[in-house]
Amino acid sequence: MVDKELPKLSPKQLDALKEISSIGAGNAATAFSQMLNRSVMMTVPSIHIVSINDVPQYMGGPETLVAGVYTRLLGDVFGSVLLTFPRESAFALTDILMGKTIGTTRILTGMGRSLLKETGMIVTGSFLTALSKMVKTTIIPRVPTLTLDMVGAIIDFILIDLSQEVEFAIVIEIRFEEKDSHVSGHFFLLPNPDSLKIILKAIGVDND
Amino acid sequence: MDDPIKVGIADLKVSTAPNKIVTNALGSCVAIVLYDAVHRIGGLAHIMLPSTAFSKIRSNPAKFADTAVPEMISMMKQLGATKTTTSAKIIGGAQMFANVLVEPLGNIGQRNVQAAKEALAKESINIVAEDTGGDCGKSVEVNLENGEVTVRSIKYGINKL
Repeated sequence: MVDKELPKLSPKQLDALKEISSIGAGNAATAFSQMLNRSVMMTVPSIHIVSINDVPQYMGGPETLVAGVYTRLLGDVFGSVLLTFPRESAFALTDILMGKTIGTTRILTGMGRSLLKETGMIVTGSFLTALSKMVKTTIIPRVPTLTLDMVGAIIDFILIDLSQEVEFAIVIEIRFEEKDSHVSGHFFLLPNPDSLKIILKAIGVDND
Repeated sequence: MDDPIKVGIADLKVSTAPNKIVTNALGSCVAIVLYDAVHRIGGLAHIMLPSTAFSKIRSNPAKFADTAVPEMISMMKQLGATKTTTSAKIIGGAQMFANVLVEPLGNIGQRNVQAAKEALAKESINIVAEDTGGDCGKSVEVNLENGEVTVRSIKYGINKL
């Protein structure tokens, strides 16, 4: 019924994308570590090109409950960044940022919400700063917004947006973790397909 | 009983009693549920966009409100349903983030709900219940035994339609 043929990236393009995403992730991890005053580890980014219908599966399944900080990207590179924290991690993170004992926060208050948004802004901003330097383009993040809900519901408008043009999504995923407090989260970058071309061109692998 | 039949994003399924059809985590997407109470045949479509005019790729009728409704009716007909005994329920169409609009669609959730209503009106199918709008995600289960729709959300718990 639907054409399931997905565009492919060459091994060289994938490597190059991984490389620049890693640098961005490193930058973001450093900023995050400084913010928490704890050591935050990040994984090597994984890159998936998947059918739009399958994207929620790559985010832990549609009904996974997360705190999601969404940032829309404008400028030369269009796309979306979503930072997700499992609910318990979002609470623990709020405790750390407010200097409380972990386990205190059981519900997100206005203060907690703005701290999580700020975390999103700093992590996303550090990633994008590194990325825009490497690809020598302007990337403008909009003000982040936060919601606590099922991840499938949180992202479906991003998929709706993409589905006007294409049937697939490019998902760049980075997992980060702070060992002592078990705070973990995921960073997802979903560039628009045209923007991916711009990035590939800027790093000189558009014809590989 | 067998596992419920799963409907993904931009997907639709029809079946008969005593089966159940489910779809998970609707945000701005809309679930259109049709149920023929006499023949106990029903269907669920999880649509993304109001109409084919909004996308360059139009091959999948389940993706759009305007094409999903007729498609579902014809599939239900093949199972023995009739339009005159069929009614509809619609769920979803939220705006998950305040102030985030999908260009050029604006409030896409609202647009999808509106389009679903128009598509149903065009087929002269009555909407007997709806749980639409708002700012939270919803999961839907349709019981084809009696047409009952269970909507689950983290904000409001369980709502039976």
